[in-house]
Amino acid sequence: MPAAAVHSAPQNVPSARVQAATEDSPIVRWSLIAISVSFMALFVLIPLAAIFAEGLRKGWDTYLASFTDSHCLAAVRLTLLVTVIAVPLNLVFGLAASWAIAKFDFRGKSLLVTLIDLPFAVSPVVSGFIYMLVFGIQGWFGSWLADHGIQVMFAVPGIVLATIFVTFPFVAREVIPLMQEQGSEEEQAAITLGASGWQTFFRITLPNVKWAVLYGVILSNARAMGEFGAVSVVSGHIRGRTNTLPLHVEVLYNEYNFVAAFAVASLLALLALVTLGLKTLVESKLHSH
Amino acid sequence: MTSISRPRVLPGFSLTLGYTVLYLSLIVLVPLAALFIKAAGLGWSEFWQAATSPRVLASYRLTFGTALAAAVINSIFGFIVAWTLVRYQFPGRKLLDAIVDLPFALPTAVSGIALTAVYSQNGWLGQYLEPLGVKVAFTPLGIIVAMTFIGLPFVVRTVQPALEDLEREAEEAAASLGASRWQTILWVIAPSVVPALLTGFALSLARGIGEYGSVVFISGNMPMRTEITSLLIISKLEQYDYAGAAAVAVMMLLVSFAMLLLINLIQRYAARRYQGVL
Amino acid sequence: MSIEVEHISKSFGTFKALDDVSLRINAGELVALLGPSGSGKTTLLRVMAGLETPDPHPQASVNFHDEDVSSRSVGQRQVGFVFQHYALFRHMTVFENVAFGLRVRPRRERLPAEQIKARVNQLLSLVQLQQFANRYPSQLSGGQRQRVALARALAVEPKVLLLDEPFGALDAKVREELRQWLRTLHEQMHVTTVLVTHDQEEALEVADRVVVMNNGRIEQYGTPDEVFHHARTQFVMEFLGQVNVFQGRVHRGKATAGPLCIDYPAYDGAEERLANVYLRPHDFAIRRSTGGEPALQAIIVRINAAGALARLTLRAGDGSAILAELPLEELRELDLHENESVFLCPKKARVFLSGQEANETTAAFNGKVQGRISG
Repeated sequence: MPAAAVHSAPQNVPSARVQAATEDSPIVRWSLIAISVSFMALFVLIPLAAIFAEGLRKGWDTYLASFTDSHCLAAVRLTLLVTVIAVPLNLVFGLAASWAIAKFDFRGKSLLVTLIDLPFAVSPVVSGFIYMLVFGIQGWFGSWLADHGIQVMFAVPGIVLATIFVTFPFVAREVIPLMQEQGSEEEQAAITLGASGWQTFFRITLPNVKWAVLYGVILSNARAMGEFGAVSVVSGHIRGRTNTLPLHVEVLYNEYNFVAAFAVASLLALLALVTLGLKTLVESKLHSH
Repeated sequence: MTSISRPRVLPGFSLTLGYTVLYLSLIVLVPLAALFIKAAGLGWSEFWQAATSPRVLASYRLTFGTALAAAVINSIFGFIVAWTLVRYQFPGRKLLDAIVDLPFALPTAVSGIALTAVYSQNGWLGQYLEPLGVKVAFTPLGIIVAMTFIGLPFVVRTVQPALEDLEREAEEAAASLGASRWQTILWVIAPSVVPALLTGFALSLARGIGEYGSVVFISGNMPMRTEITSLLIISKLEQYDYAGAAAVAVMMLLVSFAMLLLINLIQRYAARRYQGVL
Repeated sequence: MSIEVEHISKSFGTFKALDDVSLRINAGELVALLGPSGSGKTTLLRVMAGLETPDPHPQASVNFHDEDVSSRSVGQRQVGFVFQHYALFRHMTVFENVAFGLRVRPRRERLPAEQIKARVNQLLSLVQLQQFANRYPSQLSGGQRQRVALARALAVEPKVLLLDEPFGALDAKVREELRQWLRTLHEQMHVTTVLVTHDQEEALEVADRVVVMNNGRIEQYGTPDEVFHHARTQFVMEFLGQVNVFQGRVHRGKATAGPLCIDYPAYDGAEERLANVYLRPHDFAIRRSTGGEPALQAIIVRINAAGALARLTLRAGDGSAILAELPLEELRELDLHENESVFLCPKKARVFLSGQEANETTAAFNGKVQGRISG
């Protein structure tokens, strides 16, 4: 905070200001700000700008044409489909897990909490690979599935499974701590007033944690639409059928169709920016409560 | 933990816990078990051979080395960024704060091609580095750049709350006791932030080790030289060497679990020592 | 060492925390800054310490021992500052916390390690915490933490000791103990001490002098006895202790409030003016009949006899609540019961003209003849 005593004052004003105990000198302050800004520019801002610039390199027409391509539209549809399945499933799981963990004491609770976080510790490639071991041709259920004409690997179900895995903890890990912090007094009050379990959950618990739920949904949504590694292993890269948007970007890029690759990438970047905006908004709601 | 027999006031315990355990098992535990069972099917010596062949060892060295370098870079600069965001007011602070999470929100494939576009030979920044003899894309340096990008939010977002929690009063107390600003930073501020910084470092390291999407485009993927472990697993899969892939994947998982354990230990230690002092 | 602040103002944005405050604290005294929250007491303390810079003013200064220290930083002022929430360094043991101020001295001024150790141990025994030297702050109770904070502040041999609500976060019993202990400590050491508190009991009990603050200004500065019994302003009257207020009027040397009539020689004008009449709960005599005196009739709502004095809550005819206190023996003698109607005869009252704060006037009642003045 700048000094209050800057504006010119009569001669015998006692001294210039004393530097406050918790303040750094302006030189230190501005050098650190400069370092931060340059670092962020080098590693984040310039690459972000590059996505849009490269996508628009050949003008708006070419840029827009990249989206009307049928493979691209199929990728958009698949991405949305996968997200629409994976996110709600994890939402339900997250709420159930939070209720069990935050409202009750039981043996093995901390182990359960650790296990819920496990998917974050698993490399995306490994996340995809483990499903191959279960559902792939050589996998546990591979021959049974093949006999019944069900394809999981290199098809939509596999992509959905891999996406569920990588977005698994998001909702739960946002909601559990908040619910724990809030305790269960309000719920107990509702029960004593004659509310049923579901009424209590929907009228008392859910409104209290809604911002944390939304926060988790926003994060898992972003990850579901953007997941690359895990999906890449299980998708089989069949154009127009099993390519999600990030995979479509990869295909275009490897075909040296850079403009289209960056155009589609810019769509995903926009999505990321929207996610950041929503996230900031929800964060402020979360903190104001 | 209290006993299970106590009557519960709230309903839904068995339903929610049952569902949680079932879903967790189906989605996470069973598939992960499949991996270990597959690797176990190899037998010990074959497993060890698959998990430590020269090409695999080279990938470990590369992956771990670059992830370590990126985590160190992130610890230094991430700390500075967090400090700047918490302590100073300046135009654009809010924007800077929001943009920190971008690497987290941006799909990794998009980050990968964007970083390649910027740091390749004729890229935005690469063209100025090339004459200086600095090659970024398709070298280990490029991998470090990608891992730094991807790990940055982890350091900033763990250090930031620790800095916010610092009491101004503790710094004022140090100053009133005659400590210089540097003594205050070194002896009062730094020790309180070290657990958070270590956690951020470990998270960034773990993320770097497992990262795939943002690295593959910039790394060049030359076996023995710029092939990271994740990519090696994929190429083993493409050759239908599932068992070999499983062996390497198990090694990666073990490292991840060790990191997870380490992070938990750091946080437990910090919580035990520092909790409740306000 | 004396402390003198002159013409100190401090604004935070549009909020004026201190408004041209001047104050002199004599060497060796223990002075309490007392006031409601937002009254500026903590800001004044922080200005003394050098933790806040006062707004610029040609005559603004902070003097220690008649020496201007305005331009010195907090580290150079050699003050011991104790924070409300202790501000202990949580990663350091109790010993390390207390030793901190000694260890950060420049090398040539620093004591050798053994001497630091001896000094810290001496301080720890002073605050009765020797056996906790190797504990971390998180392993201590609130009262113990506060004692560590005090020992840490004393370690650097401060010329003045500044305490910001030191007992504010502790529970009542611990507060009381620490308060006594602080007073004893002060008598041993005789370091000029300034204590910020919002607890009047604490201020009146422990301090040599009390500064009552309100809205960034000093309302009154005096001994506990002075501020309690000779409040100079209505604010001080209302802030310290419990008091009954009656709205009334004055003219021609008399103040009237309902049935009460009090001599008020300070104003003998013919024009009526509004005034507030203040009576402490013990300023009432309780009678079963008026005996001709001016008295207020009221119904006893509640009698609380837990304590040396019985506390009565009464309701006057107009519905207003009145507090009165009387010795237990008197209560038994009168055989008072709840829901009984009694008469309240003022023994003593303070009158303040509305809109006028400072005139000290004590009107008193004496005997049956209304209007006789007695000291």
